[in-house]
Amino acid sequence: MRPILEVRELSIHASSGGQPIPLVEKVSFSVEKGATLALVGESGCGKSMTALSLMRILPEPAVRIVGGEIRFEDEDLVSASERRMEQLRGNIISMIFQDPIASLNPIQTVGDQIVEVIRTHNPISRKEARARAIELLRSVRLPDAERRINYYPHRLSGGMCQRVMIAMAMAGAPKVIIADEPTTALDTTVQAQVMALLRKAQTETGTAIILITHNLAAAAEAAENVAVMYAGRIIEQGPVREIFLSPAHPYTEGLLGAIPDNAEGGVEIAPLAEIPGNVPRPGTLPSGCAFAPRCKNVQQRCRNERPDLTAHGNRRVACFFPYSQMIAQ
Amino acid sequence: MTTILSCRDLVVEYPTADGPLRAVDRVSLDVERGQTLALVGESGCGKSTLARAIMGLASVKSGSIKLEGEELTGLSQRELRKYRPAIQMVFQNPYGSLNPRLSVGRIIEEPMMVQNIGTQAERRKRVLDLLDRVGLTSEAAGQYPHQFSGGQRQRIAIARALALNPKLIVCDEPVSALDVSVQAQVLNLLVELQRDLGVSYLFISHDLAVVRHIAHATAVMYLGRIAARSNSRDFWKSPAHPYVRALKDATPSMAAIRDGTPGQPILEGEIPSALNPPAGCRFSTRCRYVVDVCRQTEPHLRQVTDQSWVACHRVSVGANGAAVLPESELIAD
Repeated sequence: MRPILEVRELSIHASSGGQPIPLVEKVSFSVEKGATLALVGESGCGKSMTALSLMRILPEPAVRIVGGEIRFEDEDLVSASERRMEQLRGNIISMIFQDPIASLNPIQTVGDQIVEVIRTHNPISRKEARARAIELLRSVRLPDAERRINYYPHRLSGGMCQRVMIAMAMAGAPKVIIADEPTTALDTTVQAQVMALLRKAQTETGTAIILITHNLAAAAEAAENVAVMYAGRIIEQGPVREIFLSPAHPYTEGLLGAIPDNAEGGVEIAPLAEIPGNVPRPGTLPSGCAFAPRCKNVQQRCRNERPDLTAHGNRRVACFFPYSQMIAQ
Repeated sequence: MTTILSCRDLVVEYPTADGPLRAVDRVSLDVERGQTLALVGESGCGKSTLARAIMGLASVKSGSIKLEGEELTGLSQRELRKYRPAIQMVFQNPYGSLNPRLSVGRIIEEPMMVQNIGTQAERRKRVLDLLDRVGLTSEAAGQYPHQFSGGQRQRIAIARALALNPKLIVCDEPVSALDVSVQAQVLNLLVELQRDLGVSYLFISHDLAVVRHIAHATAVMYLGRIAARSNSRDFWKSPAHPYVRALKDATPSMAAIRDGTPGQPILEGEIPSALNPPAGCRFSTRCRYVVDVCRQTEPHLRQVTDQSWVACHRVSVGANGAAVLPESELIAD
């Protein structure tokens, strides 16, 4: 199937007077209608900047796209006019942010905010828009939607605010929803509710979802495909099941090993697999492979040369010495 | 086993405009020497208030907190000072919990200065020992917090907590703000320190994966009350209490990938207001197993197996000795 959104060789730089600092380097991925792609990685890996760039809402001019394409259907969004982006943004491509309380306007009722979104993109009366807003709030299962539509955000819990955000994101007829850590600020049981809601919206409308998360287990449950980012680059991408069951890149392996997932039972607490060192800060990357200083399989070549993302079966891996047991199959 | 800390029927209330809010309601728990008790729950369940009460930072309305048999409630701030070294704390946010204007050496030395321990030379030596203990070099002593990453700052906070040889460290979400790869380093450090020094942890967390890894015993709170507790490391394998089970099911897991995803029922609704808790069982408004008695009578924590206690009318002990819920009578969704 042809992807609905395809990103090719996208690069994003930050500049604050001096030398530009690369935040995202030649990132490529795509997502099909009705499918979910997870972008995973630790802080500073560039996943959130990638998300913002898809909506063209980077904090320009300090941070901007310096190369690549974002193909949405037959258009390139990198070169699209601001006017065209306004038509798409919040309508055809919408976004859900991590902190739902901070993402809503505190001095406007949630109803007015949804009505504003609806009327920006549709020439309908305020009354019709309001009826549609109530319908949307019901579909995201906001309890007592008719009354709560008149509430200001501070009167709603974090989970309810995230439901409102999802209702807003669904207000147009989104073909792509970008969800940037949509459940990180929420309680465990509410997280599950919000993920179920996104799945429901996806099944009903066929929207594609790009899920940005640091939680590998959440990515495993929600997505068919995954792209693992490290220091501004994708280092491994492909089917989530295949990659998480048998990672080819040592960083992916390290991340999976560091999750306390099946450590259970027994009196002794077994140590978790550690990745030594810290996530490098943008602008301070080593010359070879960015992961080389922390990699347990590092060779001389890794320190001198940067590995490109190359195809291995169903997946792509940026490593000179990937684990190959599964690549054979 | 020796009990380091023991709380009995602890009640903590906050005054609000709408009357007193009972954040912790008749909570009893024990922390054993050299072990970790995890305190789990969602926001507003009272876990952080309980920690503050144990630290002497929230006033206790009734009930008792005993540190190695010595009663701490009712003591004046002055009297409490004697016990402060024994209970230390590591906070969630390593960016907010270290004074940015003090050098790391001074941050770690400060508890000893407050308690008038040793000469300056002795304290400085102890600082270097502690830095080494938590995996930092001696150069760190002369540097400032902003020069360190989140994980390294948490190591500094741990070194400071260890400075007075505490018996108990209250860790409030100590790894929640850290990246996965760094989280593993800090968890391993905590386990290693416990093994070497015999320190106990009261480990507050909302992250079940972390709790399952690090805890010897677990208590789950809901709306100010303990819903279930257990002394077993296998607690999460098949939790009997409906809320604990819902928490487990709601937590994303790699098991989905390994074994295929069985569609777990999702717990609906949100935690009710603690100002006006439901009558009967506090979980009854969201529970799939609810029957009339749950809405009328509050269940008390009772022992159901060797190592586990639940506050639920519906849990019984099955033929194999395990705690079970009446699956066949499940209310249809």
